[in-house]
Amino acid sequence: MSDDELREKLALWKVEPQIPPDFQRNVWQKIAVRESKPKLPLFGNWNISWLRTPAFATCVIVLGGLAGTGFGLIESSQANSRNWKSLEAKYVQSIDPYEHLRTL
Amino acid sequence: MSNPSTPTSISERFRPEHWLLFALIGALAAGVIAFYGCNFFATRDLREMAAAPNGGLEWLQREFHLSGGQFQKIEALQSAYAPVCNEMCRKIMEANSKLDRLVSENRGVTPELAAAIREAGLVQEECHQQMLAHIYQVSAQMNPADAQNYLRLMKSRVIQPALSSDTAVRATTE
Repeated sequence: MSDDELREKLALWKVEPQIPPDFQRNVWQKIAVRESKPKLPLFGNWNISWLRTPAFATCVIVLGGLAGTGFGLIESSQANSRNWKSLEAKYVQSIDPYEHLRTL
Repeated sequence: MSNPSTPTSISERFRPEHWLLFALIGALAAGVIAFYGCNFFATRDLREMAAAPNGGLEWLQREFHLSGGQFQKIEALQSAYAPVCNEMCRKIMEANSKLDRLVSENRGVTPELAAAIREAGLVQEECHQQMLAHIYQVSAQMNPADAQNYLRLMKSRVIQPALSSDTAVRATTE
């Protein structure tokens, strides 16, 4: 058989695969099922779908803000106490010459 | 045909690990901002007082609940006492430096050294008298309860530390 004859025979050969009517739907369905349950691969595939919610992120941010405020209040209380003591010392220095000379 | 797995909301565009990271970074940022903001505003008042030149008097006004009139009188007493205090400082420095020089120069108690010791003692005595007089004048401007607290505080911060030995005082107060 010559090359031209072979080429003609190959052109006549048409492949027509038979795809089931719901093939595409099934594929997407399987993908959707798999993606709807995100897993954390560590510690035995825990279901962490609740982590992708903005509500969770908002709660964590609010908690962080509250914690920062709490620590800020504690630190400011201690700073105010130190400042109050330094103001007392400042007054004592203003009336006691020995204390005034000691701090020069 | 629509794709059931096409994300329809922003929450589905990100992986759960990304949301967790965003939440942690956001919480950290919120915590830091809240901490420094709270600290700044809560300490601003006293920081400004500490930086002010008459911060000591403002402390006195708040600590002993002075009214406007009481504060003005005490401020006037403080202004009148300031040159006295400066003069005391000068005399103390002069007497102490002279005493220090003589102690270093001599190997025995010379009449000059004895005189310098007496002079330092006299300066100290004069300083205590002036200070006490001022403290009593200031306490006289206060309400009775605050005056008592003021005198107690001044005794512990000024008078008792100035005594050469406060063991006798401690024995009677403990």
